[in-house]
Amino acid sequence: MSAPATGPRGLDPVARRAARRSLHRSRSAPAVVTLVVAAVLAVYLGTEAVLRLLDRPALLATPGALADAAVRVLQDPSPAVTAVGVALVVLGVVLLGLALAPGHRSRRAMAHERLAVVVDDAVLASALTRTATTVAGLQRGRAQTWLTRRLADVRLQPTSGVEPPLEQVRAAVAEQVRITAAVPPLRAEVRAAARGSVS
Amino acid sequence: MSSTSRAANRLVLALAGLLLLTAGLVVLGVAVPATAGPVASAVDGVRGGLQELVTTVGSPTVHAVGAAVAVVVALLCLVLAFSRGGGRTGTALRDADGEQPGSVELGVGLVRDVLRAGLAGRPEISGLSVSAWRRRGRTGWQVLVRTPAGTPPRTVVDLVGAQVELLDAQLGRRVPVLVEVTRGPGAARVPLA
Repeated sequence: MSAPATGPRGLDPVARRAARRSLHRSRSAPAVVTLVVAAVLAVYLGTEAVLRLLDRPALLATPGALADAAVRVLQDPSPAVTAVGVALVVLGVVLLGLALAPGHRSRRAMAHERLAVVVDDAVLASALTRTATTVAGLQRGRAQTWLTRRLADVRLQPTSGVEPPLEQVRAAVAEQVRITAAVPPLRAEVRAAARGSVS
Repeated sequence: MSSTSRAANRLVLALAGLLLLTAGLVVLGVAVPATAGPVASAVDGVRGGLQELVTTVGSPTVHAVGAAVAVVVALLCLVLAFSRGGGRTGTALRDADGEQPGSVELGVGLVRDVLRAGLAGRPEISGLSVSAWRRRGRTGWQVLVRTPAGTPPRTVVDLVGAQVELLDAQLGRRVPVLVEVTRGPGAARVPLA
């Protein structure tokens, strides 16, 4: 399956864009909060500047006094100032992280010739778990699947003293991973817990 | 699906992050003895520059320009913050260029009902909803499908794909479709058709 990020080449760019957006977080909430805080700050500073222009009393302090206060605080830093510095750095790093991180959501694209498809990892993991328990003849809940970007890791919890048919489970899980045609492609791994348990 | 620019969100966050990080590093730089000297002199330099600006251009001009910049920044921020979403539409398909006079519009509800009717009774599908978005004159559909635990996603997608292809044939159009498959209730709690 050599499909590009969100499906076959023939897929409409409108659908491809929709799938791409569905796969990533929008970061809309932090962006709106940041913008509103910036707007409030700008309105406040603008108001102080206008009041100063009109020679009216300042709301809190004139822009000049604010600048003086900032410089004074920096010239004689107290532990509180250091704490503010740390807080600013942490907040800055968090915002930069939000901006630069890929922002993957726990879902993935599937190749399809007509549709742009995005499937939640929970759906795929639950299907692989079901396949594994059914083929192994185990109760549901006696297998778990962990999905990473390129690996589906299925772990069986066999009944004590009963060898699970690992090769059959592997074949069934691999077949399901193959027909799922996740993008990027997934590799399946099936393991049984070293110690069985009594059901 | 909205037409909000994701890149703009990231740009806003990156700019704010850089600004806060710089401010924080300046504050910390003054507190740490090793860097206190250079940072303090840099701060003094900025302050000197500001004072010089105020004396050469005059305090009223500096304050007027400052106020104008603040207004522009505030407006820009508010426009960016509150012009979100958009692009969602109730019209699934519009056909105004046919030879017949007038135009034909299909509602999203019709597409949803057709898909639900086609999939009714399938245990692999416990719910389906459709929304449409319009961007740069093109319409797309977003189909949200819920499926009970354990259902292979390929089965769900093929079922929905077959219905969409039927719809393609009936409409004579291939509308871009995004299908999102999520976990739904085990039993069909969301009624189909």
